[in-house]
Amino acid sequence: MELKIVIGGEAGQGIQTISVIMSKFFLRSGYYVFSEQSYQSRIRGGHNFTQVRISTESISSPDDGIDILVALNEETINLHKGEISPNGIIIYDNELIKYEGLDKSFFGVPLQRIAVENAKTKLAVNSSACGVLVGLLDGDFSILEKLMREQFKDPDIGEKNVLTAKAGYEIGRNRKDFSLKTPFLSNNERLIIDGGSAIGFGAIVAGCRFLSAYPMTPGTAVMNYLAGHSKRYNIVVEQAEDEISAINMVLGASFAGVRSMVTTSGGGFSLMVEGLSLAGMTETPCVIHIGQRPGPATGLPTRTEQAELLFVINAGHGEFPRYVTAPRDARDAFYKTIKAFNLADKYQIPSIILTDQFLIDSMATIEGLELNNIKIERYIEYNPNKDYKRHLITESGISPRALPGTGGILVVTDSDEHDEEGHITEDLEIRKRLVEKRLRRGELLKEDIEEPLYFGLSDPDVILLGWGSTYGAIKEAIDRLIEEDFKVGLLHFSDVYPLPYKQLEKYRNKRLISVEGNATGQFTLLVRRETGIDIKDKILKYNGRPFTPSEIVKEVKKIW
Amino acid sequence: MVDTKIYENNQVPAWCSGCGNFSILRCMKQALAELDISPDRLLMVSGIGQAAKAPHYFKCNLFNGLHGRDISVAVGAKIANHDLIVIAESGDGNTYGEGGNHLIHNIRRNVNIKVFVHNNQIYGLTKGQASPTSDLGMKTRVQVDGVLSPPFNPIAVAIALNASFVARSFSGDPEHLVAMMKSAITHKGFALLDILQPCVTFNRVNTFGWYKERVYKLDDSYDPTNRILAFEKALEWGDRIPIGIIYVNNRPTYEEQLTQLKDGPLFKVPITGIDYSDILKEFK
Repeated sequence: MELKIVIGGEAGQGIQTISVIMSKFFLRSGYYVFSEQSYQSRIRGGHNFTQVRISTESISSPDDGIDILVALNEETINLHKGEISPNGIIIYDNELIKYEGLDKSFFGVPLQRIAVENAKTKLAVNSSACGVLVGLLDGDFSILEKLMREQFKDPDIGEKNVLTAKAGYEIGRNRKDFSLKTPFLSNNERLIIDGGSAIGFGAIVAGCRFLSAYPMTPGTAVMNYLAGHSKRYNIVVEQAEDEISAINMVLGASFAGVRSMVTTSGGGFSLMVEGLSLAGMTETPCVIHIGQRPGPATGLPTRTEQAELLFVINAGHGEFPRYVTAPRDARDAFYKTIKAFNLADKYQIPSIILTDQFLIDSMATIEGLELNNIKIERYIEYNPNKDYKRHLITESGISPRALPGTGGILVVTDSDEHDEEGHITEDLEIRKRLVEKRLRRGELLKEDIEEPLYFGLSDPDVILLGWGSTYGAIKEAIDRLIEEDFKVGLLHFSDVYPLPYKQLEKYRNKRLISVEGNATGQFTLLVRRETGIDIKDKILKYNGRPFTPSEIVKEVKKIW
Repeated sequence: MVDTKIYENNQVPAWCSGCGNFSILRCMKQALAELDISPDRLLMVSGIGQAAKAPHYFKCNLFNGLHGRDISVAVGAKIANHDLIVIAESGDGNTYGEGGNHLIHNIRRNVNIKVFVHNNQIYGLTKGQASPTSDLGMKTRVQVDGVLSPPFNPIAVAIALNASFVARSFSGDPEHLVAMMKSAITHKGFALLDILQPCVTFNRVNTFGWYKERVYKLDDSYDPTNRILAFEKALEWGDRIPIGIIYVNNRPTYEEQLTQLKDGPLFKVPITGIDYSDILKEFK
């Protein structure tokens, strides 16, 4: 059983509130949920919508089509009416919207009047809408009531919103002809989490205690998350004057011993690139989160894209190792964030978490997170030798890392080429040895890189390649294609650099199709550079919206 | 007071003979010795330029970073470990040009770090271009018509931003310079020390003699907590140039205002064995 609800209206009408409450409602009712947001770069007005998709099966992407449309303005009806399924329904405020051309799918409810009557404020229209939805679907009102009371810290406001929701619920329940009822399922240990919170939570668990950033959509979500937990978990979050300062502050904090990160988007990362190179030269661990959005330049600030892959892998002057991971979903993002911190410390390198607006802003049901087995490894020498040298040449290339102000030794590093002690040098023999020492760590790093996930038939004719947040949509497309007897599989990359190549080698003679959220097929270029495999077929999307399974199925059939 | 010998290392300065940097380096060791600061408690952060090489030439922890970004690194390190004495040391091009934005906002932030600027009103390392503090009309290979933009006034800018501590000294007056360095280091809060210094190779205008004729010390009757007077002193530049503590404003430091730093340095906060069940509840 599956259901797709779209809530649309202007910015500032509370669309996100409805989406969050309903997502949690369905989670607690035992469903798998995936909610995706499409919003414009503005605080008021415009057209924003969010899709809450629920299923009894595990899902991890939005999909085309609408079963229930909650229209908070007339424009929402005009824009989405064509997507309504045959048994679908449009909930709208029939006292505010005088729509011409009503048919049986329209369900007029005085959402605003209910809010004003029960909560004495138009703002509670979110609660009347949630009530109507729960009533219409025959859901358990007590779950909604509990959620409302949790949502509003003030008990009086909570009560008013419960009354509002209840009034909506009664109206929804009386609509008997609606066939898509949602039976209550047994509850469970699953969580619902958005990508931004998953990265923020992962960072906290990894021991990140300093974050500096300059606000930039969609990277800001991680800064907000850490700031929200800063008092409880002793985290310092500092909004920098610019991204250049953010990365340099982070390097200072990391040099002095605190796990530290920046969060930004492509434009902000462009400003950080010299700092990235500094991290490479001084061998200072750091974690950089980049939430991609469409470029070039300011591009589409609130939309999604996967067009920074080659930039991120090649960014920074000079040669130095780095780890780049592109989490496939919120759960993966949590664990990969921890891995990013551990590898940054282990190899004394920059670790880059490459996500996108779609992953950051979407909420998804995930299986419970296992926190007990998480290892935090710092690789710091607290009792260094008296003749300590910060950049000691070792076989592995990794020099013992001590902290300034501890152990009675001196820690010296330099953005200039330096000797083992860290002092500036122009000795060209030392230069050569330090370059080789720094790069040796990159060879070791390869052992910690995760091979891509394989999903699908064991002997496919065609393999789709994907990386990052496209996983859910491609996986679902594969399921549907297999049902239709297509012999197909999916190789999906989360760790992208150094590029894991064993699975690619295994499938190098198969027909490969790359599915990517960019216009030039950047992943195919990376694969060719690293393995010589030439991938000719590509399914590319670059209009700022995420992939849906339906469109991938359609595109695969076209190419097949 | 410890012996200044404890700061000696085997690095050989890359400066021209007669450079004002030598005097500043000697004064630095003297000030640290008089304050009994052992090298391992001190973190020097520098950017790029001839001045920014200075911390290589004495014993200390050192992060010699990028051009103009040393203040940001210093602030990050101080937040991570506020037990360290953190001093950013660079030149006028680094701090007033490339790093201007960081200077402005860190004066506001008031992290307890010290910023020592060797101000020779010229670019040395890149061989003689105008700096943000070069006087109007100074001709160089690049500024062929002479400098057209009036000089950046670091003292006035810092006072305008209500800086916690603003001072100026001169490399040609070691006794004064040591005193200013000590005052800056012991001041609680962000301290800017602008150090006038001749460049013997590239600046033929603002020579040792030029400065020597003009600088005068603020005497005891001067009240550095008076912002209006401080502005007057900041604007004095020409035949007479005041040196001394020009402005002091004892306001709370960044670190003092954060409860996260109350129980000790951030880098010592335990990050394992923490119960995160509170957070898990948010996602249900």
